[in-house]
Amino acid sequence: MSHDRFGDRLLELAYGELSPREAREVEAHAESCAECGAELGRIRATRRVMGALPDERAPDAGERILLAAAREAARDRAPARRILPAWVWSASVLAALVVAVGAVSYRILAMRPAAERPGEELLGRAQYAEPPSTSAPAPAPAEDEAQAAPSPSAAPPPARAAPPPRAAKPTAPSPGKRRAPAGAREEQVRTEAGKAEPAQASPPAEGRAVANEPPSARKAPESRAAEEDVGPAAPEELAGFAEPPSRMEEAPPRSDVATARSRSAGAPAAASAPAPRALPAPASPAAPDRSAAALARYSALRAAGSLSGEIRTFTDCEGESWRKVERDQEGRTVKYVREGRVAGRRVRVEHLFGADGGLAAVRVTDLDRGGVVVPPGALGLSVPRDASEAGPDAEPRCER
Amino acid sequence: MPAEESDERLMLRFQAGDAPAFEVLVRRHRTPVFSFLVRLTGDRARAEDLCQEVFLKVVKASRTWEERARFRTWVYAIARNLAVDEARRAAFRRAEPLDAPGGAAAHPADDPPPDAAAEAALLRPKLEAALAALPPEQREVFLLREYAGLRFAEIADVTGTPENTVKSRMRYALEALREGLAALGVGPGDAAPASAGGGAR
Repeated sequence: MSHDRFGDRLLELAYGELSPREAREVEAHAESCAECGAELGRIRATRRVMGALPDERAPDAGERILLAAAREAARDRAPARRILPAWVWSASVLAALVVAVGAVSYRILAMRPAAERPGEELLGRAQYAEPPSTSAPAPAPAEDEAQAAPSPSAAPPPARAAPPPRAAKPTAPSPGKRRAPAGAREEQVRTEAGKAEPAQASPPAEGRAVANEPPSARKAPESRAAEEDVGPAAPEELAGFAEPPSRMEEAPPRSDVATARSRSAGAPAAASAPAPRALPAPASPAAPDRSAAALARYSALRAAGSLSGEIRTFTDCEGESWRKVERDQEGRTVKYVREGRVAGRRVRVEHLFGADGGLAAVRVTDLDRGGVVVPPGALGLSVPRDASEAGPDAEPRCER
Repeated sequence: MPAEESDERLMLRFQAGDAPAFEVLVRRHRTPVFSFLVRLTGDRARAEDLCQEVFLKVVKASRTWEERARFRTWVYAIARNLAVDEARRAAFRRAEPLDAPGGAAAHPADDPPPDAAAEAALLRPKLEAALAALPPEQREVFLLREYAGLRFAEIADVTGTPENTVKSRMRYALEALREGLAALGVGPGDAAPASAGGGAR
């Protein structure tokens, strides 16, 4: 064995890659050969010193996204894969039976309370994968209102009425969070099985009963789930959402949004500002209402289970390493979130679109600074002006 | 449930639609992979992005994943290749593709260490500096063997380099580290305070 070759054996010995027998042989040689013994000693000593170097801890922020993406992927494949492989050997009759079982268990999976699936809200698909087409009248009006808002000026108040409960909600966050998915779950049960309401359905049923009043009553718990979605920095769902940059000059985001909230919190109907649709008018009073309306619309659609979420990742794109797009049943983008590195800062940019498809609100969070909300104009971000520019397949925004 | 389920088993479970299995994998590997990327690229922020990309890739590829190689090897191969690709692209923007972390130079070498913990704290930047001073191809091999726990043959696969070359890079790396550490005033005995944590690898 050449000496060089022996060097490799010493290396393998030091890293435990030899079989016990080989290890004994090499060890014995190292004891009898001064040069090899010294070499082995040096390798081990260097290992010992370098082994003291602890791991660099990965930042917590990323984990949530990964787990959400994993749940999304797992859900897509769970029904078929989980059950079929165990039965492939069986007769075709059995196979058919299994498909039926698969379908049922998929339903059961889909109906699991979100409490068991933390972080799923992030994807915006969990609770609302199955649009309740027949029942659940509440959400539909909410959306209609939002969409019908343009013409009659009477429409805005209900559409905008969502903020009040939000303003009132910080009291008891956790129970509400649990309740929200439960409602969504029951809607699914009803839609699909067409059977009577489960015994414990009273809270959601009650919620639906009020549906003709401001839809917000029902949405209160749901918006809390949305809040979680939005990330750690948002004690208030609306906090930090601002008009898109161009309008920013007239309406500094936070204060105006706050006023809008307190105003409508006091008296929903008295949300006297111009209709949400008045947005084209650059006048500042309209601005916060527009973002509030967009948020209410999003919450309503979400509560109604009419949104489907999609995540895309981009490998060669600094400005957008991934995006999540939530779309309504017509495939129009309602919310678009992207994360990436812009101007040297890692940011999350959330966009909400109005019923007309126009960009209604933007929130930019600086992830490097612990989730501080920064003004959208500050980083020179490129933002889509319209929902059609914010689909899952839209060009990634790779600015630096 | 067994306390320590193998990565491959977890991956198969995830493949079958079991999302919590992936959670275990993430908890097990994200920090070591991140660590690897930080030390390979010398850039925390880039390492953070790359690390996310690695695991999103794992999610994406999990559907077609086959147990041909160890999960660990596969993950580090993804991480390494992403980092190399990224460095190539970055080479257009930066002078040094795999540049050394700048902070490592700021070690107060002459201060007398008051106690063992402080000594370990002083030791760390020196170890980082010695590591950062390695040529990229040696550093890569050393990181994969010493911290990621890949075998030499696996490193050969991951880096697309003959196994003999991998081993000689490793020997050069160990030698350079020993000399580098000595130059920074770190001898074989200096690992004692902190080696309890690192020895487990």
